[in-house]
Amino acid sequence: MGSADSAALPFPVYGVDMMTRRDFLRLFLFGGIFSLFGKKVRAEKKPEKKLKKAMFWRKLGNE
Amino acid sequence: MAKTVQCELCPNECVLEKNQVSRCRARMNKDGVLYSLVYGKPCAVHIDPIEKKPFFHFLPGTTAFSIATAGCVLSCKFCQNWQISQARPEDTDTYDLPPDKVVSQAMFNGCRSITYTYTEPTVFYEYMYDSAIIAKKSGVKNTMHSCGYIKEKPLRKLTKYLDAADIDLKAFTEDFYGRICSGSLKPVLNSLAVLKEEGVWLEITNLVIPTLNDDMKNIREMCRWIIKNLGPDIPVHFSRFFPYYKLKDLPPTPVETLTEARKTAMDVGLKFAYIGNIRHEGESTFCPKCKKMLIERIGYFVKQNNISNGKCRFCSTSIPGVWS
Repeated sequence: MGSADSAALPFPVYGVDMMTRRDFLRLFLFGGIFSLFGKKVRAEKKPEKKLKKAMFWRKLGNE
Repeated sequence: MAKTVQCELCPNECVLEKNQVSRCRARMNKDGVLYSLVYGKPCAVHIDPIEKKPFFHFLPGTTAFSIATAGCVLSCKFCQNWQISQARPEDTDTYDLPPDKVVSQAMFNGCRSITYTYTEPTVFYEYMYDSAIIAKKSGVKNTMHSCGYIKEKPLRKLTKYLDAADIDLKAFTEDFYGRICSGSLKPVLNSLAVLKEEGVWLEITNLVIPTLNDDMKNIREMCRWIIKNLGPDIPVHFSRFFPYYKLKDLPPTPVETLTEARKTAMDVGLKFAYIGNIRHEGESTFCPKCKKMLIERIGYFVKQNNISNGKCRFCSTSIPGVWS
């Protein structure tokens, strides 16, 4: 973890106890804006497997 | 009654209304059609010594690719695999292993055979059947450890691909089967006769439970039935009971009871009676003629094998079994 005055980060890094409301809001907005540029990835749903028909059975009273 | 079906796989013959699940928990009536709920979804996949099944006269010293799905046609109070046999498929962790992969995995792992075991293979009949066809084509042998509680038609169909079966003959009274297993003895005896008739290599396991089925009179009667209907060459395994599931109040089977059962079987005329689930000389195979030790087993492992080309190395007596 970088030190609190790291120049590489766009905002100062604090411990949670040191974060002000303003910092939190800034971080929150940053996240919100970045998420707009992110590519939407839909979770791939596995095709539901067909159940195997049983081999030994009979229909009853369907006539 | 519309869309009601009847399962014809086992003697339970479950009649199922729409959306009902069979007693074995592995079949369901969906809109008037019966489906297997466990096809290609084993909950147990292991590579075991074939001796663990137990098969003592079938490719000794080899490994068996062993699979099982959830469910069972019986509800034995002493079940040693009750966590999966008495569970619903959706309550078990399953693998996605279609029949072709069962065979390829068996071959990849150097297993000479596939064993359908742990629970009751009848409940995953379609899965077992399809796997067995592919295995046979690939030169892998098929074996099952079953309670034999299956109807004759499906059993005969399966025997075309089945090389060996170990059947649990749990006791020799209808009372025991009804009270302890919620089943009946007669269909099991019929399955044994069918397997013998169809030329499937057969071994029998009898779990000896203190106070419930350890009466030597019954054991003697059972052995006599085996000799009369299946022949004296059938290996019979007397297995030691350990308190599991609903019979936790009973003690493990005393060694003396097991040795007495083995002696009773041999006195009656069975040539190969074994003791299982315990380290004992009774785990080894002896030549019925010269009485020398042929296969020395320690637990599930073969220490020495003196059977050559299916014959005793000392006196050339033919030893029944599948040896290569």
